[in-house]
Amino acid sequence: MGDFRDARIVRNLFASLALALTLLVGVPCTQTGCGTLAPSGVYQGDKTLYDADFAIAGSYDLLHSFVTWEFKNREALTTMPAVKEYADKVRAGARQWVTSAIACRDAYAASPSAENRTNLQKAIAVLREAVVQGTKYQVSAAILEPPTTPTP
Amino acid sequence: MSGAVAIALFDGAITLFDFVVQEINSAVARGEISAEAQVALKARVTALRAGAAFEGPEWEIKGTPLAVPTEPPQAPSPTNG
Repeated sequence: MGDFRDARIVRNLFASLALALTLLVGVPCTQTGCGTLAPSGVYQGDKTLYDADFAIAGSYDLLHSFVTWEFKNREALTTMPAVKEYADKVRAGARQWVTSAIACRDAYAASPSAENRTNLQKAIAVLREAVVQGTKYQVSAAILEPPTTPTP
Repeated sequence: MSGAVAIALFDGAITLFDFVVQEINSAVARGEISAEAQVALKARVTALRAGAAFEGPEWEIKGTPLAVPTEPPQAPSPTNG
């Protein structure tokens, strides 16, 4: 059973990470690219603003993915109440975190000072931390999930 | 598999994840982000401003509403429980 559980843990772990990787990097990069900005674009070559919007939108996608995953698997996750507890904290806070990051983004766009840049980085760091924690919960759930090997 | 091994595996995977992200970012850094793609991204952020993105059953909190946290809480160790 140990080998089966090991394989299950590894499979679930990398499935979760692959999901995060796909949402955070893969999908956005295939759709928009991650290189230099076309100067004729709406960002007018401002990579900081582009990166900020990229981080905000990508973070939202991952947070939405996390709460949706918890919502769809709530019954199966009843043995791990901490997952729903954290998901509810994301539900309660996500809008404010995103709104705050957008406000800091707008402040930086209006006045690209060092202070506004720092505030923007801090706001995005809050979003990123929420994403990291959500991914950790998904991985933790995969690790703690009891094996389903049938008894002989 | 012991808890310590599971944690080590997790930490290793996170490190690998960060490495892969950096490599992908480096690999595609030579490309140019088109004007259309920039418009699409800006439209996504504009949609987030409206707030409708936070509506739907998956965003509903059942029971007593929670206070809005200023920072996300820490996830527990995978070995707890």
